[in-house]
Amino acid sequence: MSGLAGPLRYEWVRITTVKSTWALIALGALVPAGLALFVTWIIIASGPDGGGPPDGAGPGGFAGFLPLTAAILCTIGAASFGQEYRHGLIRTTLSIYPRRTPIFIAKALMVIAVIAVAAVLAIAAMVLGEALGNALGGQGFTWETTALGLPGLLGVIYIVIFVLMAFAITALTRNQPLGIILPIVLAVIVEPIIGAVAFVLEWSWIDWVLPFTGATAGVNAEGLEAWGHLGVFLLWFLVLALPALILFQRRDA
Amino acid sequence: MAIVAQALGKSFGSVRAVDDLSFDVPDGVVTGFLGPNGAGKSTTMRLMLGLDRGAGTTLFDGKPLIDHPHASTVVGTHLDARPFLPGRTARDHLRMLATDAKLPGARIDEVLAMVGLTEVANKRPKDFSLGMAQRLGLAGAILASPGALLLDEPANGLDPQSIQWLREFLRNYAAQGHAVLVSSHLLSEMQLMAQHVVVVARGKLVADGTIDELVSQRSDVLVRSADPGRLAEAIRAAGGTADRDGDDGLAVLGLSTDDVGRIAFDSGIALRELMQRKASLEETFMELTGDSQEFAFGDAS
Repeated sequence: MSGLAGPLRYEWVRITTVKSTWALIALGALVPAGLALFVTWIIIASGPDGGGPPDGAGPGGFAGFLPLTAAILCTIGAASFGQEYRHGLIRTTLSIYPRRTPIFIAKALMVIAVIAVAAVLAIAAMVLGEALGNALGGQGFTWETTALGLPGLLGVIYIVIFVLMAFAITALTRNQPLGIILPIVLAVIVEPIIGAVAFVLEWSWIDWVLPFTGATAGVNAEGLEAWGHLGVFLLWFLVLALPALILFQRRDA
Repeated sequence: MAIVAQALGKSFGSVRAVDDLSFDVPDGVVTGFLGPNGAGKSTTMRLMLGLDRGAGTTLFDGKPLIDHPHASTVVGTHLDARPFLPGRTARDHLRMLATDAKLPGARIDEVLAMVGLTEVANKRPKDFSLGMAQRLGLAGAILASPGALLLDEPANGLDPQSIQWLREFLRNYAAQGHAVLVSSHLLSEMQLMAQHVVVVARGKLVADGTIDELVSQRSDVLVRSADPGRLAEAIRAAGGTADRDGDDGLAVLGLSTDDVGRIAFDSGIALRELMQRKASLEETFMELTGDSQEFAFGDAS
């Protein structure tokens, strides 16, 4: 563990001394909550008399907003390696810490720690958003009852692993934009298409294979099924992270 | 903290960028690392630090860098012109580099003052000039007072006053018993800064020694006489070499002006001119690396 102390200090200073980290954490919390409140405001403004949705309609459970938070926070995960390669700082980093495995592990651990805090803040912001939405007359929020329980914990884990995917893709490809965009494209475009095809073909097992679809199902599930889905999500991260680590050790900096 | 590079090697595809390169960087003097563009200087420095994967080993105080518990106290590096995030302040950049040796904030302030960046310590370096960026890079290299410095083209972008400051700083740093390896294309500057030079071309070592040694090896004696043919025979008989230089001249190696004068006197040959010709570092460099210019725009360096 002593070999990790220096790299962890380095990563802490690295990640906390760029404005974008703090801006993204704030955005990750405020954008989903703000968007849900906006939806609520539109529903309230339209009202049943105006042909709007029936009573009780609203933004629904908080889990639907987790991918948005995760997508915003992806940049922090991707920047962990991406910024260093883009600006040539990786050579300075590895001159100071020539052992590469502790640097890789420290980067992953710091991403996990920072994103876990950011995810908790985001979910807390959503709960506050619920209170505000209900005060405004909204009725469709079901966040407080769920977010403070197991689904809240699953939501934090979902966001952390989502961002770790961005981390691993960037470490593997040394391409920060790809690390940010690929998880989002997979989650929002590719997997839903595969899921639709699988639905037609009645491949119900597909939720256990697709990382992002399965993870979303996990957050909405209970017990072993929930943990199983997130376990598969974690496995996908490891599938990307292990070759990334091996390449990091072997590549020229 | 002497540095010993042993059998370094690296290929990029079919191009052998560094080829079985071995040399020492002694304590107490500035060692200049010279070579044409693409000669493999930067690649060699990265190999020495373990940044590039290749053959050979480099020992810092008898051990590879990876075996030292605090590498930042062993060797300070400055390999890129702008090795920092444009959005992170100069002070925060150094705070990050100070984590290995757990250096206090006071040391960061001290180094910033040393390189003349105190006033911009809390500014983001995205608008720094190349000279300021080089100073920040140097600040990072010397932050932990390492036993050795590896600097790749640190004088690029510096104004004459800054170059003079850099020269004096590095000579003083070396004089404190540290090993300093500096690559540069500025031969005239290197002649003033370095006491020892390592010259590479096409990834191979072509010279290693003090500047005086290198230059004197390529210095000769010019002698003009009425009978250069007979004088050449006499010089060769005395152990020197003599090549024709013009109609009546000879370029003599291996003998001093005194020797040549005495040989001519003993042989009864009248002389028209006798002089020591001392090569400049630039001439020596060109002679050593002259046939490697095809790499001038290569990407190995």
